[in-house]
Amino acid sequence: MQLISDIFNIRNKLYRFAARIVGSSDEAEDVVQEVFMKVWQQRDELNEIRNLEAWSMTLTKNMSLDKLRSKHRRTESISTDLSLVAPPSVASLEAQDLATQIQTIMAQLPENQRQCMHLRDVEGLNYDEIAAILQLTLAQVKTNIHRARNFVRSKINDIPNF
Amino acid sequence: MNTNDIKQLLEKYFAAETSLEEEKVLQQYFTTENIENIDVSLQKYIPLFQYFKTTQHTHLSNAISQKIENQLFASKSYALKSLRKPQLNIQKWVLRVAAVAVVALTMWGVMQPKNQDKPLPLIAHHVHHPTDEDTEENPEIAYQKAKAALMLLSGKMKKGIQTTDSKVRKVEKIGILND
Repeated sequence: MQLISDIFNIRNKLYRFAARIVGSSDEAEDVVQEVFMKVWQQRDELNEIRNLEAWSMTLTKNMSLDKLRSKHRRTESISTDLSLVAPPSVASLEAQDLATQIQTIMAQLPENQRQCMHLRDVEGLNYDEIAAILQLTLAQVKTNIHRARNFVRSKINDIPNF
Repeated sequence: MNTNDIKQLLEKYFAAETSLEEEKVLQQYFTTENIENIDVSLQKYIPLFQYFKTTQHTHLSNAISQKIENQLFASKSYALKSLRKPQLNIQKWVLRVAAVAVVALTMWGVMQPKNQDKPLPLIAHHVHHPTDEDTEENPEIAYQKAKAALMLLSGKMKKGIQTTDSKVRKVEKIGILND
């Protein structure tokens, strides 16, 4: 029970990571519940897992990506309003408030870069932990963070009066 | 920390060369320092670090958190109950039943003989004998016309199913957007 309790204590971290991937708080809540159901099902094997936090985060990532894929499958044949999915132009960025502008810029990052940047800049994890969670090499993590930060910087610099 | 130190730290940050401690210094500076004390050239980075700080405080709703806690520690099994709103499924099924009813009624209407008073000609023989019910003398032409009519019916039914599918997806989309 202690191991389950340890995972329960990082529920908000799991939720934020799921939300970063699925892009919706409701669906992130669904993902977290599914993650804990899986944790419950595997409660007898938890003591064999070396890094429980990394394992939980990886599980959250995989379940979030599954959710995202099933959502895309459900909506891909619908005639989607392109303004909802097309990257916003610099002009449209100007019209948004500053926080939304940053969110919009972050949303344009490739998936791996977005995940790396989130785990580093929001969750404050070191490169080794990020590599374990995302199952990447240390070099890949560093490259992703470097590229993500430079992309964000260039987008910030592109916006007049920012 | 003076402006030059922060500028150097920022360069390191964007090159992904900062330590976690140095990143904390940057976040602290951009989220707590009075804006007038921050160099104008650096003010554009305030929203970025503010965004990180705000996101760090995002948490699972108390209701969901409590629900998970109860499932994990207060019950003997973990039941994942109705995550999605049930009304969406009801709408979907109503539309499906309606679609099946429309198709069934259409088929029933097409299968009905035009003149109820006269019995249908029996097709019991290999050689078809024209009756006064027939509009075609030539069985080959009659066959071709019947085939064309059935193809038309099939096309209409297919279109009907596609339209129904499209409506169902729109309802799903509305449901997703409402979520």
